[in-house]
Amino acid sequence: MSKPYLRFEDGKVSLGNKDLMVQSASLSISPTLEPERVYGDVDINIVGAKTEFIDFAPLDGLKGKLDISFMITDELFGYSNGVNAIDKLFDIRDGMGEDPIHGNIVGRYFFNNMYLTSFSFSLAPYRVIQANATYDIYGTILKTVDRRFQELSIDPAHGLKSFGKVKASNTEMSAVNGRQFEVSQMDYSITVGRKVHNHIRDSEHTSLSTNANGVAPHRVSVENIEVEMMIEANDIAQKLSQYGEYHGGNARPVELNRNSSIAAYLYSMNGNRIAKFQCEGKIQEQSVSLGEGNYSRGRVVVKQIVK
Amino acid sequence: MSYSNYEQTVIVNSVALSGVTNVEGSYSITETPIKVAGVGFIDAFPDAPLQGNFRISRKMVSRDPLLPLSPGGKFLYDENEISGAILYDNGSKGFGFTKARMSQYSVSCSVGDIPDIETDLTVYGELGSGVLIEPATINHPDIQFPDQSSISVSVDDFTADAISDFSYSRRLNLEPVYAIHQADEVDFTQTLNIDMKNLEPVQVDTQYPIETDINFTMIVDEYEVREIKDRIQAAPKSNVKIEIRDSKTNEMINAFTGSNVRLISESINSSIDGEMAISLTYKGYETLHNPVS
Repeated sequence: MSKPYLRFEDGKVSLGNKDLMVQSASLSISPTLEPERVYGDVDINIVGAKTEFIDFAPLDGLKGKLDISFMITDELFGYSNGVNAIDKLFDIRDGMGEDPIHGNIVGRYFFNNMYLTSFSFSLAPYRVIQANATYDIYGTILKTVDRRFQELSIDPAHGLKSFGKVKASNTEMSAVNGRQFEVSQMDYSITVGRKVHNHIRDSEHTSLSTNANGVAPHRVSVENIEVEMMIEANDIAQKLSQYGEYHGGNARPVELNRNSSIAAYLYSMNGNRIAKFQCEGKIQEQSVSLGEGNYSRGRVVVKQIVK
Repeated sequence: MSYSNYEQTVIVNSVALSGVTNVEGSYSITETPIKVAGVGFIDAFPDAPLQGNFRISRKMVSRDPLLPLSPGGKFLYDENEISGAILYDNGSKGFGFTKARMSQYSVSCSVGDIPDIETDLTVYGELGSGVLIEPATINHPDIQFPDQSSISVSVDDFTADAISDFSYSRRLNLEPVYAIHQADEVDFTQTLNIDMKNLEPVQVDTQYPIETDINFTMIVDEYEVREIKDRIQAAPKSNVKIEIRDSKTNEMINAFTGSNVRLISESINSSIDGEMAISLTYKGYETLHNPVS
């Protein structure tokens, strides 16, 4: 019997020619089309011209998006000499490169010209830390053969060994409210805003007629980088000021102590150090919810502008 | 080598329990399989807190050491932790547990029997061999035996006929909260391989109300089953009291009260094997602060 549908076990996800521990992937691609409506021939009955639809016209090159959900392992994430050593597939930081990622396979499809746009994960007790990454893709996708790979063991980042730290305006949260502070979940998200640069008259190149790739951007630059971390805890910070700071005393905190910080220190299930993720900025949002059958839950969001 | 029943001791909160007929201890780990695109299954990892269970079955032969009352008259172990162990080999070996919470307590009795007590514990701390291998340090309450003449069940809105059996149970829903370990950056930068344990909950609360179920069976004499429509419209509440006394001294051993409980079920049974019997089931709710009236 033929097997027209690809099985999960036979559809590996490989980005930048590296096989990843992906648990779900979603690849989409779409042209940017606009209907062309023009005035047609003269219609004697109305003594004028009716509009006619001619065709869809491309306004831009092909654009795609890839979302993956994967496990963080020490093969692509690391920490040495006080800094993270993360593979460029997931590394968003000030000074990051602008080069596209080529050699990408999702199941039966191959594509190039991919750019990282976001990376996020969620840390909670007793959970394998699930990460997500999203990418922009420019150009078309091509078919490729089914592939699989072998992985005999895995040591993913896990909530059992990982830990965190939360400070409101450089003050321990337990001191902010004067009681035990406990965090039940930490979410980390870093996004990079990108700008696409195209050459003038690229869309007139003869290659557009000879292959499906269409117009590829000349450069996809890094415009801004923002980090956001959210915690779910038993408390939120009291005395939040209009500056998004904890205003504990009778004067605004000195500049050195104005930022709040949330840090997640990830370890693998076997206890190996993986990476540190931090957000240091202002408290953007706080909320408390209280519902029947549940504890009061506080939610604190801190945002940092990296670039 | 094996260990007979007379070589085992069940210790709970430093009291060696008497009247124990059966103890079951178990734990389970919930795993989630990890499946990866292009590979399939690789391994499985824990995805839920460790949880142990202990069930202790006893005959009521004394005031129950697992039912101490707080100064406010509430059961102390509704909110407090329990630890214990099964010791054997002259108390040198054992299977113990820490940080357990009572999840169910029930008493049942039939005419001619000594009341049976079943206590279910959910363990949030350690559980296994070598945990809490310590001898009992608190004396067990004096041994006292009830018999069928020293056990009474009373309901305040009617006179009960002859009661042939009863059961009383309380079920506690527990809500543990687990938290992410918090530590400083220096713990991360200076430690290559860490053994942080986020294994135990930071808080375990009893979810109120605690449901109390009281059931007893009467041999029919004066009592008549009520009309269901009247019952549901009036929805009256009663107080049911079960008193278990020492057959020799008439001293109270244990008493269980269902305050403002509502009759939720009545069943009548007539067969060629015995007398006509009516079974009544009451349900009550025990609250944390606001008493039910």
